[in-house]
Amino acid sequence: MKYSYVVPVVILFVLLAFIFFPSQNSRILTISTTTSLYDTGLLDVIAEEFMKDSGIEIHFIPKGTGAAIIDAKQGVSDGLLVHSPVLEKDFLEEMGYNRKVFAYNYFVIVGSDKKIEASSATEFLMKVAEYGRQGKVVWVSRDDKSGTNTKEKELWKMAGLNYSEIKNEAWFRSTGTGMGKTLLYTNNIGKSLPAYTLSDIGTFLKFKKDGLIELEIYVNKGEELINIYSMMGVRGKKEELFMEFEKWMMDRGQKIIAEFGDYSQPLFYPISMADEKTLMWIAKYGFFEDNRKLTECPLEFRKGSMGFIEVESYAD
Amino acid sequence: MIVRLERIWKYFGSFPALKDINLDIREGEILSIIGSSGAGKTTLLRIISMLDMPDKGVYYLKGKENTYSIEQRRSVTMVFQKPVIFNTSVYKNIEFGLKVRGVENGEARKRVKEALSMVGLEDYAKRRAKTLSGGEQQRVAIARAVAVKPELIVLDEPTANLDPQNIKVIEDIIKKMAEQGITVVFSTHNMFQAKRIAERVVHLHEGKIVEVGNVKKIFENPSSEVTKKFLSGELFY
Amino acid sequence: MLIDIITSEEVLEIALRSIKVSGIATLLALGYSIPVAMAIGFFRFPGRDYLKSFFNAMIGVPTVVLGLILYLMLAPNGILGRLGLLYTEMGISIGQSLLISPIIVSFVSNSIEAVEKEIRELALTLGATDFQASIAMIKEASSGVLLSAIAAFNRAIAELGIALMIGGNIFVRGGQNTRVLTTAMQMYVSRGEIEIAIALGLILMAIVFIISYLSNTVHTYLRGET
Repeated sequence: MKYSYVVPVVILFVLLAFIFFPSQNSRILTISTTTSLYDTGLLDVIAEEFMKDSGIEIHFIPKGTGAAIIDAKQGVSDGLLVHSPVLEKDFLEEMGYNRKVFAYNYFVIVGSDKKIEASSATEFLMKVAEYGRQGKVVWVSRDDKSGTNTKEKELWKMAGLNYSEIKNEAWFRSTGTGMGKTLLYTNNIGKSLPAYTLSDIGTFLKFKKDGLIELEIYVNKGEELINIYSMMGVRGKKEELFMEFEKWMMDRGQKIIAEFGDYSQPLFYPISMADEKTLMWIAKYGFFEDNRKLTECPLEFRKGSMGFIEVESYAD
Repeated sequence: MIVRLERIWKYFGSFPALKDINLDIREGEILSIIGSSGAGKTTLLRIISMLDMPDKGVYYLKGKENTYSIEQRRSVTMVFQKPVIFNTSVYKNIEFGLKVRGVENGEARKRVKEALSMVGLEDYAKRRAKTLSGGEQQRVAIARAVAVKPELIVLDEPTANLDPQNIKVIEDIIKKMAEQGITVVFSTHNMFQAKRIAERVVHLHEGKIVEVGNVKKIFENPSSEVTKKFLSGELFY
Repeated sequence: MLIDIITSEEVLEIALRSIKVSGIATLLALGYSIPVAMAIGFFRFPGRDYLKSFFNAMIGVPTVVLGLILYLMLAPNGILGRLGLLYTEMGISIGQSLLISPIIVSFVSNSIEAVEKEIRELALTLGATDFQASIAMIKEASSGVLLSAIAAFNRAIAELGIALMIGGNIFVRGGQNTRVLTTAMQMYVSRGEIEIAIALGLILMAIVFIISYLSNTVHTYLRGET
C-alpha cells in the first residue's frame, strides 16, 4: 500500500507550525517568583514599565518559593524574586549573585473582635493561647508549610510555645489551605467566638476591600512581623540583562512599588524609604553575616558596579 | 469463453477450501453456483472476482492468463452477500466506480441515472444510502456494479435474508442484466432460485465441483449422488 | 460589566492565543497520529494489541504528569533543553499535541478497523487501484478523524496542567506571551478576581460549543446528506 503522501503532509504541518510562531527574542529575562508576590499584580506593572524603559521583556513565572528555586536549578530562570531569607542564603552560595532587598512589608494579625490587647505579635500570641485554653478565643492556622505558615511557626517559637503541641489543642484550628480561604474561615467562625489568624497584608486588604470579610488588623508593626522581598541573579544566565533590571528596580522601580495598590494603606514599602530603625530590623531578619558585618549580599557573590547595603553587626 | 479456471486450489491454512476446480464461464450466460453452507461458494466467487488469488492453478480471462492488472480487474465486479455501502448518498455510491475509472461528469451522471432506473430507485439519488432498507441497499449495490459496465458481474447470495417480494425484484434485475449482455454468476443455497433464473448450474460440495450442466439436465437427471441428495432436500443448508 | 471584560483587548488576545495554540497542537497531533492510526488500523503486526492498549490507557493521562515530565525535559538543563521550548507557545502546542495524540490514534484506528476490509474490497471490485482504495477507506473513516480532531482540540484547549507548566502563564503587553484561557482563569481565581475568571470560562465554553456545532455541520456534509 502507498501512504507516501503522509510524509509531505507531516512536513507541511511542522512548517506551518513554525511559521505561526515567531522566533525567540533574546532580550527576554525569565524570573521565577513566589505566588503571593505575583498575585498582588505588582509584577505585571513592573514588567510593563521595565519593557517601556529598556525594551527588555520579563517573563515572571509564579511558583512556591521552593519550586522557584528548583526552576533556577533546572536552568530555567535568569533570576529570582522571593521572600524567604533562609532559603535564599543556600541558593546564593550555590548558584546566585547580587542579592538585593528591594521591598518589605509586614504580616498582620487579624481577627473578629478586639478581645486581646498586646503591644507585639509575640505578646498577642501568648494571650491567644491563654484565652484559648479558657475557651474564650480560637486561633486559625494555614498549617500548609507556606511562607506565611513558616513565619507563624517562628512567632509561636518566639512566644515560647511549641507549635506541634498546641496544634492538637481545641482552640487551634488548621485549615490546610490558602490565605483567602483561611481568612473566610476566620471570618465565619469569628461570628460566634473571637477568632484570629496571621495573614499577608496583600490578601487581607484585597478581601477587605471586596467586602468578603469583616476582620480588623490588631497587630501590624514590629520587627517580628517584617516580610522581606529580595531579588538575585542566577550565575551564568543573562547576567547583563538581569543587572540592568536590578539597577532599574533600585531606581524607578522603587517609586512604582511605593505607589502600587489601591487600598487604604500601601501593599509594599520600597527599601529606599526604610528609616534607620526599620533598616536594622531588615538587617537582623534578612541580611547575612560577612566579615563581621551584616549585608544583603556577601562580597564574594557581588558582580558589576552595584552598591550594596552593609551595617555593623548587631551588638546584642 | 470469458473465464476459464484450470485446476484451482485454495487453502485456508492447511484446510483446502477449493479442490481442483475446473470451470468455464461462457460469455452472456447466467451461471448459478449452488451448494450448502461451507461448500466453498464464496471462496470460488472471490477467486473469480480477483479479490483472492488461487494457491494453485491457472485463471484465464478471455483466453489470456490473468495477471491481475487493473484493466483485467475492471472487467469483473462483485456484489457481496451483505451489502457494503459507502457512508454517503446513493448517487455518490454508484458514481464511485465511474470516478476511479476517470469517467467524465456528464457521462457519469447519465450512467448513474440508467443504473438507478434499472433497479427501480430513480428517485433515491440524493438519499443517504445507509438509511435505506436491506433490499434497497442490495439494489444500490447492484446498480453500483452495473454502472461500471463490467463484462462479468458476480453476485454472492444476492437474495439471502430478503423477503419474497424483494427476492422477486432482485431476480428480475439479474435477468435484465443478462439482457444487456452482461455475464452473470451468482451463488445461492436455494435450488429453486437457480431453477428460476439460471441457464447453467454448478453444484459445489466440500470444495469440489460435483455436477455442472444445463438447469434442465441437473434438475431432471443429476449424475452425481451428492446432487441427488441436495435436490431431494437432504443436504439443504 | 461582563461584556466589557469579554470584549477587552487583553481577554481577546488570550482567547485567540488559546485557539491558536490548541489548534496547532491538534494539527500537529493529527499529522503524526493518523499515520500511526493507519498502521494500527490496516496492518496486523506483533505487539499491535499492546500498542493499542497503550494508546487507550494514555487517553486518560493526567495533564500535570505529562506537564511535569515535559517540564523536566524541556528545561534548559533537561535533555531537550537546547530546543528552547519551555515557556513558549510552541512548547505548549507540542505538549498538548502529545496529550491528545492518543485520542486521535484510538478514534481513527477504531474507525479504520470498522471499515477496513469491507470498504477496501468494495473499492477494489468496483475497479479502484490500491491507492484509490486506501483513499476511499480514509474517506470512509473521515467522520472518525473529524470527531477525534474535535475531541482532541476540546481536550487541549480545556487543559491546564501543560499550559501552566510548559507555558508559565506569561503576559507582558506586546511581548511573547503564553497566557491562555485556562491559565488566566486559575490566576484570576487565585487573585480573587472571580468576575474575570467567569468571563474567561464563558469564552472557553463558547469556543467548545461553537467548534462542536461546526463539526456537526461538516459531519453531515461528509455523510452526503446535503
